[in-house]
Amino acid sequence: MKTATILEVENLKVYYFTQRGVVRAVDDVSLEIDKGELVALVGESGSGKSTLAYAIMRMVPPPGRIVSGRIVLSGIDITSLSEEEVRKLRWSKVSMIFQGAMNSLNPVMRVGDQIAEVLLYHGAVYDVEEGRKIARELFKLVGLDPERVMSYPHELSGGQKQRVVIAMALALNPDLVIADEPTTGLDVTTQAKIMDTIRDIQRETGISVLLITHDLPLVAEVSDRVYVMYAGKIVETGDVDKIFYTPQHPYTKGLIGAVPSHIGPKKRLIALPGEPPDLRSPPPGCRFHPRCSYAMPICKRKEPPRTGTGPRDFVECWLYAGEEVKKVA
Amino acid sequence: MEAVSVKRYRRFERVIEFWRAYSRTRLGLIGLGILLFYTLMAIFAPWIAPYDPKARVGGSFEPPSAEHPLGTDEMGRDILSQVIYGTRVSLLVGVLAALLAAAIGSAVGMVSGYFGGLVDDLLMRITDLFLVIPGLPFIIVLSVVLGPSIWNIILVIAIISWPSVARLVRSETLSLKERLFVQASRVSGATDLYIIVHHILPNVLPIVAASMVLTITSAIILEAGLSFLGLGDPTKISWGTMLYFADRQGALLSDNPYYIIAPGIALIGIGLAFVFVSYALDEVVNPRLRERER
Amino acid sequence: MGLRAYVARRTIELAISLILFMALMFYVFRLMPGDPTAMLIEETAFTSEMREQLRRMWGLDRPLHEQFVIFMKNLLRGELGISFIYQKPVADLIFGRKMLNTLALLIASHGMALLIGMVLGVWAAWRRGKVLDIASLVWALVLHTIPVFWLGLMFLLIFAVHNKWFPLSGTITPARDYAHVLEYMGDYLWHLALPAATITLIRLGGDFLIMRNTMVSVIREDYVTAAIAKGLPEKIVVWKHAARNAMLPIVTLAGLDMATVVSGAVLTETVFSWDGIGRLLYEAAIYRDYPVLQGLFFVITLVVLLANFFTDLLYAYLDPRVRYD
Repeated sequence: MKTATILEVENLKVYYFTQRGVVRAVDDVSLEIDKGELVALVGESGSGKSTLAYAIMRMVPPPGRIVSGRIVLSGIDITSLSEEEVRKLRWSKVSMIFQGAMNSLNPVMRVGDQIAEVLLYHGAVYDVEEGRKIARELFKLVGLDPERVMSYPHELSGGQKQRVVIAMALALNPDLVIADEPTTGLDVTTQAKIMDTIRDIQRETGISVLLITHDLPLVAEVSDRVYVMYAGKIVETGDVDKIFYTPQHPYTKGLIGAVPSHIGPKKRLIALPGEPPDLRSPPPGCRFHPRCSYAMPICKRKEPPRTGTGPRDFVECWLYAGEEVKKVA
Repeated sequence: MEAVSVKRYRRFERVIEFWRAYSRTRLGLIGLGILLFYTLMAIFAPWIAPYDPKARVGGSFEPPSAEHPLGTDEMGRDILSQVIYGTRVSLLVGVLAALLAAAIGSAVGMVSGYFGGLVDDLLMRITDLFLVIPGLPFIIVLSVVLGPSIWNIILVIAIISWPSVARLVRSETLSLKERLFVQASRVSGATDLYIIVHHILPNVLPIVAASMVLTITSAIILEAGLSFLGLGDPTKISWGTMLYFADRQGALLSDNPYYIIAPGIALIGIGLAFVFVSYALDEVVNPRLRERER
Repeated sequence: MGLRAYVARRTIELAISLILFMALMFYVFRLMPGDPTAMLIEETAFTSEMREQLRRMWGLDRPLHEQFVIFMKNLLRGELGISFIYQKPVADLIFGRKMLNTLALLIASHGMALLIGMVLGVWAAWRRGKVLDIASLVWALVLHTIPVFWLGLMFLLIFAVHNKWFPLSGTITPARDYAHVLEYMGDYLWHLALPAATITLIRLGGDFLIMRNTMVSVIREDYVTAAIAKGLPEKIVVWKHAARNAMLPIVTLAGLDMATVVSGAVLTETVFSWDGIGRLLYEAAIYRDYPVLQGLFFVITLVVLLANFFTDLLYAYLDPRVRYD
């Protein structure tokens, strides 16, 4: 039996129309998240992860634009909604823990009021006092002293601010929380504590989480499924065990190879030779072929087809394409 | 000998490079063009001006005509000729006052930044005080006390213009002081004066020069304001004194409003030219500014 | 540092500035050739009785440092002497009708400039477009270079001479009887319109640009992005989250720029014969009314110093981070 799908991204294309050319930041991406799942989206910086996240919030900054595809959130296709309709869905259906979350707090407002404000404008409470009361409850949930609601951001430590941001993301009990590099800028111990908090809350409340990161040990530890993104495309997806124990795509193999063990000391993700391509003029055929040690002549000519590797899993690589597909090509 | 000529050549090369970057900014070239126009007008005023600006050459308040393109004033003197001659006072006051302010400001700024400590505290308190004293009332008081002459006006404008230069130079000196070549020079036994003159001064000069452009503009406008109040040099024709007489003699209600319009346009033109140049300099000196705007 | 310690530090700085300023004034007014009172005699209808009074007041027969102490005491007590021209105490001249007239002019013009500049600046930044960018830049540059008194003259030429919509000068119509206080106020506002519009227009460019530029950088802050993500109404994002954080520089500018404000007032009041303290300063300069000149210069600078002081405190109150620096 299949549980409800919270998010369904279908053939999404998000391009930035800059003066120096069109940047294909998200190019034909499909992605699914079920209720209660913690799905990780991994890739190098510049691979289009954050753009995808902003697209799900329908907040792609200009000169970027959603070119085609569908984003179905809790059963609603948000690509066709008006700005006002989208505004009402933001935070109530999908909320976000921003990259560098400490800067996403308004410096001149008490942190509790920033939470109360969200509740107020989405009609969840009728006055600030009631909002603060809920903020206190949320603070307890994320392991903060409830009296901290009256603090200003600069009076809190990095870890505390991060917890405030998590509390804020939970304020309207959304179906999906997007966590974009939620632990950047924090020390290792705090990182672990914050991630534990997120995981605990996620298990307790059944909220779905899309974790965007390049921290692979973290992914191995907390996620259910993994999407691997390279140069604007999803190159492989599968269960966390499948991705880590039997990676298929050469890029995924490279990534996993760069991590010695799940518990060992953390290493930088990018131990692959070469640079990610310029998305204004990506290489023809498979975008990974210039860095791929398995590259074949066909990889330079034609984009690889999607090959299913499980009920919801696939890999996009010529190595696994069926013979009949190759013949047609 | 050789070292000197190499140094000279390098400097020459830098000037060329600077000019290349500058000439790419359209506003900068326009500004420079207007300034050139004004400068030529000031230098060759006696040849360009159709009449002696102080001679009665027509009736009073004549409207513009072929003979007098901008008409005449209350005494029948030619307005166009007065505007042309007025360029001399504006440019002279603007440039000299800015130079003097730059000199005072640089000296205070370098001493304050270089020596630091109590000297710095005292000089900066004084600088800050001069920064907050309202400019026009201060120069009104000073020019009343000193008496009206063009040299006093220059002095007075310099007195209220130096503090911002001093602030700028001080912060630049503070960072220069920590640089390796200054440290090295100090270790090798150079005197403070030597270091200031040979190491600090050449390096603060470019920013002082850039800041001077705006100082000149404000000096020109201050002179005009002071003269408009009747506190200018009565023996010299400036755009400010023209406006003073125009206002006093009832040009507003006369047949020749150009008596009022013309000097103002001249002032705005020169002001815009300097602002354009300063904007272009900013772009050349801080290319990051341009990138960010994009 | 708490707010209290911050206030204490700024108060001490204010006191030092004030003493330095009085020393400067003392020196400047001693620059006058010879005995400060001597030259006055030839220039004005000045009795020897008044001269004696002045000599005593300035303590000219005492040693210099004692003179300075007397000078400071007189200034701080508000004993600013007697005007040569008006034959009235300078303090009464300043703190009366003239001060009210100036305040009316400044509050009207700066209030308008601040309000319009802020709204336009916020709006321009939020909907940043190319045409608007260039237009606003050119506009601000031009406004920056227009001499305020010339703009005043142009307004008179267009709106009072060419079209007789507004009066040429003064604060009220001379020798007019008013049936009602509202009629009086109407007349006053009618006279106020042109001088206030002059200052408003000159200030607008700066206020607009500052607001726009600060907004443009604030909009890029993560917390503004977050506010949009939170699904807050656009008005709330713009005004409560972005504009409030962009407000600090313009508030600071408004307070710290009092010096320019006063300069503009002197020229504008002279152009429109607006009976305020700016025009009083001008008259004092023209007629060599030294006590008025000195007293006004002191009062004006004191006001500017205090404005700076309170701006800093307001800033510290608005932005809790400042206090902790």
